[in-house]
Amino acid sequence: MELFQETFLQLLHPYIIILIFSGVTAGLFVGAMPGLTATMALAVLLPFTFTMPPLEGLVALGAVYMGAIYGGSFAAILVNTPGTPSSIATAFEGYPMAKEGRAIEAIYVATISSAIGGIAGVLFLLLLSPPLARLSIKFGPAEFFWVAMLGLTLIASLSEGSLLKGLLGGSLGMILGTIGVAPIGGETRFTFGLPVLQGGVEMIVALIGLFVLPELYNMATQGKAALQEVSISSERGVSFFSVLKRVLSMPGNLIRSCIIGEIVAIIPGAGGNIANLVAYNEAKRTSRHPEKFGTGVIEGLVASESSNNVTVAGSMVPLLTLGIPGAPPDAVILGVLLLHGLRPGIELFTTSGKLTYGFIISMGLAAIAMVPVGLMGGRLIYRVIFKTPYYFLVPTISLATILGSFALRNSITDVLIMIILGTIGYLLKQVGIAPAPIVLGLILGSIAEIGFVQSLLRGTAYPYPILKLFENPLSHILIAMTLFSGAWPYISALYKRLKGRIKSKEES
Amino acid sequence: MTKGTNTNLIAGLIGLALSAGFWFSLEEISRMSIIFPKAMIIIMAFISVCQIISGFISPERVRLFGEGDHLRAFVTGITLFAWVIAVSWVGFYVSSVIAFSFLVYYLALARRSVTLAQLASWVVIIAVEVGVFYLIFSRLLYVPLPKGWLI
Repeated sequence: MELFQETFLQLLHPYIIILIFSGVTAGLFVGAMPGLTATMALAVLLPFTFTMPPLEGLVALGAVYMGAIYGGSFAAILVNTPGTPSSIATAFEGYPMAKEGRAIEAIYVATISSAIGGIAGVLFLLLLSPPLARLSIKFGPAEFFWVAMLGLTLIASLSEGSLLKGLLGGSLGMILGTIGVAPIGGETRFTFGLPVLQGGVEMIVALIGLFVLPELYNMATQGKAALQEVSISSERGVSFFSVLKRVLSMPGNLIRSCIIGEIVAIIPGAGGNIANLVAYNEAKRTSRHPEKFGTGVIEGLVASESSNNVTVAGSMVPLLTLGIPGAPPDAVILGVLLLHGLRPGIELFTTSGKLTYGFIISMGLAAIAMVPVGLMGGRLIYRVIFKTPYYFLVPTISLATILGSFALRNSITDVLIMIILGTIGYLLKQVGIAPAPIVLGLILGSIAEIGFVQSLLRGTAYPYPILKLFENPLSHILIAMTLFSGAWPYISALYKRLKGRIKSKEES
Repeated sequence: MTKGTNTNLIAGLIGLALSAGFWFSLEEISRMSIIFPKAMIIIMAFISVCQIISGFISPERVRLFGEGDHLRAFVTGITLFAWVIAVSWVGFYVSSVIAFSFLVYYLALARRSVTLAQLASWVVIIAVEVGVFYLIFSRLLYVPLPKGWLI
């Protein structure tokens, strides 16, 4: 309790409060731009945190993340184009509301739901992380190897496209992660005679390249960044407090959506893009008037926006305890943690407890900050965004990515690696290999390698050292989960096919 | 006949080529340093073969580089490479203003015609924008941006 009080007090410093507000505003800007994701917001704004102390850097990025997910709702409501994939379902109800002249009402609903979701995510993180971090002590090298494999299969099966393509991207990422000095053995691999590669591929450089450049190339190809906006001048009078009352009058919907958001958030690789659709579907299924969904129903908007903001803090549960990012933006947060010498696990909650709890609570404050920022600055932000032509946006983001990659180690080679990886990522995306599994493979690769090699070393007394990987009951559970997650896309496809056949038989 | 490229087959072939590339660049080093990369290459090659097989059994056909003008993406990529290489020679500020201005002009042509007066006003805006970034990074964040021949 004393730790909490101390942590909370340090967050009340004016500089931290300013950081939270500016982080939410910056995230809101990027998130509201169609095509720019929360991951991109974090990757582009990351260099500004390099010179900050760990807590301040993490507070700023947490606020950017929260603001970006919320910002996605602006574009979804006003131009029917989700600013981020986390706001797809928001567009289903928000845009029809805007067309009816209820845009401000929809923005109020999104703001309140996002704030509630954000706070709920922080509470989940505070409750779930410490026990899971304690459980992680029981994990040996073999368990960490299987956790990495589980993360990879989950990411591959949940990411866009086919499982095989996801696995292919993940394994490529894992191989890219082995470039440079071996963590055990100490010799260099895959340097291709280039001394600069001895240090390996810097994770943040790869993140910026693989997440930002494909989107930039895409914007250049399409020749646009935003679509036609709807007019919001003909507003029907609606007060913020009346909307707050209406949102709070649906506690069942809010609680259900927050729980769905948290469950999805804990699964590595899922995140807000899946949570908002699942929560929206559930809200529709349990509604007394499901036929009205799609015409501007507040329940759907509440479900989408509360669930996607739960995932911001919620997806940090596997990240802070096991080092596995729950969603792609968390990979950037992991990069910052490692940059400051902080390793996920129980130590984050004990030795670095003040920092970790400070970061977690600051995300709750960022969720609260979304209300004034969104309500007061919303219209202004919106106008700036839609007046910025795409041909200025692409070079501006390019400049930020070049500066960000350079600032990390003051190395032009890092910038070149970023551009090469980003270009390869764009080309691979054309054949269905998405950047997210590659990046997550890169992160999980080092966890898997250390677990794999240490297990083999511990199993040298066995006739087959690899058997050490299959020895413990905890490993058996993780292997079963890995196999299940790998087989899940095929099982669900088979189930759908069988269901379809039964339905067609019944009809005939 | 179905239009589009068999992306399963292409992805599998790319995976196999990458596996071969990494496999042949392996050097003779200690077992503990090489065992994991070797295992991953074998796994990637196996996934690639499965992908190729799925390309024959149930091909997923997609029009590669379908929507939009991909020449713009190509030119953007080349400009980015040239920009980064020029940074070390010419200096960060000057090379950034030139590359930024070129990109704005080139990408704007996709949407509108650009007069010389407009271009001149854009260059002024760009010089200020790059200047702000330059000052933030060099003076506030103490990043030693490359100076080159100029600044």
